[in-house]
Amino acid sequence: MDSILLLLISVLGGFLGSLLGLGGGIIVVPALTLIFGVDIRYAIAASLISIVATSTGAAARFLKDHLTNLRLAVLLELGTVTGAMTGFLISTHISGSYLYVLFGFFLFFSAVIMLWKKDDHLSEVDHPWSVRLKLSGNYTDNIRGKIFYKVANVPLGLFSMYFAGILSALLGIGSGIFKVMAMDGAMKLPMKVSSATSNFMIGVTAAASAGAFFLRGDIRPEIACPVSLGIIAGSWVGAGVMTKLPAMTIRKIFVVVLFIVSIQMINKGLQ
Amino acid sequence: MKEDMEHIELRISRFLRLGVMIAGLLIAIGWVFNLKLSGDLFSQFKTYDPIPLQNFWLYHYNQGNWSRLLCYVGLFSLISLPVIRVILTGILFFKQKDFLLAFFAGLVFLGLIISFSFGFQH
Repeated sequence: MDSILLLLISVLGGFLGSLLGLGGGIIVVPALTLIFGVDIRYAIAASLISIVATSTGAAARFLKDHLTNLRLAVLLELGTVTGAMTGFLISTHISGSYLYVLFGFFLFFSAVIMLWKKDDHLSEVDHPWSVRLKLSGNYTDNIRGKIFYKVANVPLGLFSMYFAGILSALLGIGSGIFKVMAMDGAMKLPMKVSSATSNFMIGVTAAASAGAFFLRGDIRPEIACPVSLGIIAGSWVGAGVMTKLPAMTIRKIFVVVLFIVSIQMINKGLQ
Repeated sequence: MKEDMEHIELRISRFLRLGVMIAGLLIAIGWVFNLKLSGDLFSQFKTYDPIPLQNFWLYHYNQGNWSRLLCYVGLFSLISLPVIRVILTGILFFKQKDFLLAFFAGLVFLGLIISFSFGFQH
């Protein structure tokens, strides 16, 4: 019965994640630990599998829309994969209670970021690495027509991806928030391109540590199967109805929930 | 050049979509049959006690527990999708004679393999 309940919660996680532009991990890890009492390491490993599933599905959609900057993604994946390797190694030496506290702070930070919406600030100058690797690009916006963009601060972006990779492996999250922040804030990419490219990379980042967790025996089918199936189903439904639902209202409610859950996670870690 | 890039993106997109569907199907079949055979095993994860995959696989293989093995195949297929995507991207960049990006894709692939190998050691 617990497995069916977990499947339903994961469907909800995938649905809300898709609606709010978040990964399912932000919902699944607290649900597994706080509701079912599962050890946070199993929860993190199962969450990584669900991230691979949703990111891969979303990547297919964004690629078709030509929003993903494939060349930039390949370069930045060097940073995220190296970070994920480091994160996995750190996770073998860190106690579960630290992970609870770290996850709690991550949720709190995510809630703050969700309240903060900013406009695109495009760069007028291409970074030399961007010129060399031909990273600048364009996409078609329904309202503004064809948008051309350049890529700034490539080394800083690459360095930020390393930290995003560490957090992904440590907490079982996609780190999409940090990736988008780096691409949007430091590299001055348009938000749509940042989101699509981040989503494209998340699958590789999560797979780097998920593969290691899988071989170590942390990914157990009893948890990972209902979680991944639920998240896949929920995100498909969410993507289908996202234009018909009041996303802003749901976002505000979800922010409150995130704040509460973050305090609970920190509290559990400190006990 | 742009048409080539769009062609690459579409081919990768199709591959990813199909891959998620096949992996999802394998996981679903394995999980449903596993649930039916073994009942609910959820409560055993309150404490962390990992069992290396190879031990688990051998145990279930010897027991003839095909539904559990199918779950593992499905989960492994899912994890493999981004890895295959990296290989595919590298090959396609290579075909375009974009050797530097093909090299980066090769490095990402190498990083993934090294990361996977950590699972055996730790």
